Amino acid sequence: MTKIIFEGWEVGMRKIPFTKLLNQKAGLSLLEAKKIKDRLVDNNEIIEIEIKEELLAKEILEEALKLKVKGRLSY
Amino acid sequence: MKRRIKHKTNWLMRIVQVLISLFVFQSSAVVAFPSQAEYNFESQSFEHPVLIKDDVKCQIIDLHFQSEFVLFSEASEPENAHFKGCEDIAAKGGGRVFTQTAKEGDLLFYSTKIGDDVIEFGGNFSKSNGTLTIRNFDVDGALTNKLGIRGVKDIITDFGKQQGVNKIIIQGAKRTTGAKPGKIPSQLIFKIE
Repeated sequence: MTKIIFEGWEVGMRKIPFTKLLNQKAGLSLLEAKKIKDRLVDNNEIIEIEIKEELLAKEILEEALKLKVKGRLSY
Repeated sequence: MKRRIKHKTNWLMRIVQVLISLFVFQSSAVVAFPSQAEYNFESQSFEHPVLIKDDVKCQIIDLHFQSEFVLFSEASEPENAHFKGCEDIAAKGGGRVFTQTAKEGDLLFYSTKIGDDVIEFGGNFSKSNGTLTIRNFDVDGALTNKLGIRGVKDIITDFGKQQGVNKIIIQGAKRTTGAKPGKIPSQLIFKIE
């Protein structure tokens, strides 16, 4: 199990693609994904998501970084 | 005698068919009532689906009779027909095509083209008394920061026309792009004429 820790966002963060990324690749429902985006952006919360496969976790993080979301992996 | 009764029944059913189409048109739910939607007397249903528009999207729906009532049955969405239907609806609401890209509960996302660019927007939708409110409104796309308030207004006005509302209230989510990232934008109210 690999954890992705989303720690914040940078100016230019793309909120809708980030929500859809979590929905389509992290196994979260659209509503759950949107709530995570809201917590990250509106409340500046640090969010942890558990992903079964390490490779998938890396892929999600890479895409999130491109969308200007700050994050890292934790094993 | 039997033939006469069948003949009368056929005429009666045709009258009912016309009345139904008028009723559905009146309710403004139907965008197109295809001429090929002939009533099949044996199966007691229309042979072809009827295109209708619901609150959030267009779809092909089969009409069926049950007793004297008309029921909308399960939606069938042949890909091409669905797309064509959406275009038809768009043509009635400002000529812009809005495609629903994701939906769960009241959370909806739509995309639309502006020239060669695509913008996407969405949020939590609720409708009441002719007013559409979109909470936590997000917008994304290469053009997003170049649209300006007038550009947003044009798109939202077209969208409102297609949604059949006379007012749209937008409560934006915290901005991450543009002039003031981190700011929660003021509520915007657009009247749709």
